Amino acid sequence: MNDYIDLGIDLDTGQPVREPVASFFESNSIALGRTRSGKTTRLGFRLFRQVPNLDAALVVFEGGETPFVYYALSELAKSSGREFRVLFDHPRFESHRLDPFHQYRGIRAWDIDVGNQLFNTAGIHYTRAYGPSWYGLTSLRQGVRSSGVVIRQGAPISFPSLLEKMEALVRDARDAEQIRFSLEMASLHESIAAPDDGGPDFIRWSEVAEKKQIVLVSYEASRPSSSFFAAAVHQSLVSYAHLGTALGRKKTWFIIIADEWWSLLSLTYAQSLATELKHFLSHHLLNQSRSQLDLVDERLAEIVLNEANFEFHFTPDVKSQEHIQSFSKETEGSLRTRTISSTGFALSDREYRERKLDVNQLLEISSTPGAAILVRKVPDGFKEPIKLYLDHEISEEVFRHWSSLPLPLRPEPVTPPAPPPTGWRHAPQDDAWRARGEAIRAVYERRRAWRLGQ
Amino acid sequence: VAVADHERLNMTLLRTAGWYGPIPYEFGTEICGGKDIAAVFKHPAWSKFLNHHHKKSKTLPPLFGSVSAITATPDGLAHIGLSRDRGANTSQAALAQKLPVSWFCLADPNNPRELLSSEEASEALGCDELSNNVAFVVSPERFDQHIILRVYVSTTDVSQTIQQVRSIQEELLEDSALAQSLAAGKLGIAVLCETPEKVSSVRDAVHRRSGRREPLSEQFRIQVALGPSPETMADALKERRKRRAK
Repeated sequence: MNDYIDLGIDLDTGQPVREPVASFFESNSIALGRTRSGKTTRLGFRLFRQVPNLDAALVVFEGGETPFVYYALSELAKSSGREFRVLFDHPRFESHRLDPFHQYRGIRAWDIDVGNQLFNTAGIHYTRAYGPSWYGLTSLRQGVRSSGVVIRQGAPISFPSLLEKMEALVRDARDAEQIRFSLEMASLHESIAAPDDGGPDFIRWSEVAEKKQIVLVSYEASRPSSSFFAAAVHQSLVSYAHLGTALGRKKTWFIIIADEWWSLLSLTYAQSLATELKHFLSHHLLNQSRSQLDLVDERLAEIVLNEANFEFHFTPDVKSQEHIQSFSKETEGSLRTRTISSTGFALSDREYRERKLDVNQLLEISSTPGAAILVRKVPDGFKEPIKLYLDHEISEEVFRHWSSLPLPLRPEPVTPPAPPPTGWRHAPQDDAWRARGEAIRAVYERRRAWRLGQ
Repeated sequence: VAVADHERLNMTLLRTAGWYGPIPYEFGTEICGGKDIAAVFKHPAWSKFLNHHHKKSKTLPPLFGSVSAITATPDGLAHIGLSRDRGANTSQAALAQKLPVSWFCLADPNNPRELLSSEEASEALGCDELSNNVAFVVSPERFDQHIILRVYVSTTDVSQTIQQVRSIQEELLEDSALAQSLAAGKLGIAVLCETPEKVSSVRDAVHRRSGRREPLSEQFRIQVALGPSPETMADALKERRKRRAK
């Protein structure tokens, strides 16, 4: 087992940059960088590869390069002897299933837990549309009420059953608009719509934790309905972890690596990202830019960056440059000036301060593929941001090969062969058929010959 | 030769009128190759075998509307070996059953059908005895195939007609030989309707799917055709003349 994770090479010293594995994976991190900057293939793959060395389960939310990630994780699972489970949002792909409420089975389910789970599943879309408001809370109240009814009736909690109860309870459309909408949208996805029937194709967080499974949750980040799917799965895991704390269950770390995560986490949830570490959930988030997060909520980027212990900036924009520089120490310099006047020359010195990491260096990093600035906010003393180079851990050929492979499709439902056509039009023209025809013709000709006198 | 030919045509006329019952006068003309057949009814040898019913006659008035018709006399029927009583019933009810069948068989020279006796029909279909109050007709079809049609003359509305066709189907299915012929397409049902409008409505109905059931036309052979009643015969003949003139 490796004790350290190799994060890349320090461009200033040429030395590898290493962090204790436990310290890295028991923290949160975020990576920002444009497409092809190396977030997934260089950093993401590096993180995947470390997880089998840990006593932890790996859950990857992938909203981008699905075939590459699918085959990379599949190979990783094979080589490490772990089970690989896959959850797709699209019904065309071969997928396991997950009941997002299965964690409440066998224990007393609290309606407030289900309500909170629903609220965070729906939250990202709601805050995007309206901002947090009174209706958010009334929506939560309706979620809790509906959950209570379902729980008291002893019916399995599922998106369809909750939606049905909510339809019956809600008088004012605004009251539960947010949660009702998310219930409908999540119900559209076959792989998470049905209650757990105990079958082997169901993913259960308790089994994932026990067997240290590798789970890939694949969704299309740009498809609005898919974000309900991804948020529902993520919040199910969060709920499982929180229940574990409440029940005093033996804890297992869940390493959550989420690529193109911005349509996955609600603002409400992101605000408490750091405290999730206490529930043994470690988030490693990858997305393209701060602006993407600003689209969701103008405070999301700021909040998540504050909650992350490690930041990887592959292609920093102006805001990110300022943010990175705020972690770099200031250096003092002096400006010497010479003035000519009627009385002669005058020499003077003027002091100035600048950040050790200047904008030119940041621009160079931004334009170098595979290079990133690493900001570490760890408790063992101040650390200057590092100019990091992440080399490929797999060859270009392997990357291209995995990316080009098709995802496993669900077998088409076998349509039973059409029954042989029946009816007089399809009667077999056998000897009996021909003989009957001849008998009829003979009678016809005899009768006709008689009538016509032939 | 000419005399022998004449005799043969007169005999054909007698056999047709005797076998089918009253036939419209113009069918008789067509059977005799379009020749004027008025002389036949005055001929000493033939006048005792054939009757000409027309509106100018005081003894033999038209049988249906104002349409001239030819019938065989009891002597004529006996002469061709049929029962002397075969033509005795000239009631409107009897004519309503006979006329559509004779029209169905004789009106279209391009598709000459033949009425069968019940013995002939059961021989052709290889079944037990068939009821002799039901008409069976042989119809030459495409590809030199011949089929037998059980004739049903519809005198009711479309839905009752369809109901009646279903009950005829059930009746035929009770006999295994008939059921076999029905499934093989060698036996079918001919539905004769008195007006072209009804023909079109019934035809639509037999091709229509009813719930999960296949349309009747897919279950067995079914032909829906015109078979004028005594009331509609004059109009049908007028239409036919127009069509043939074209």
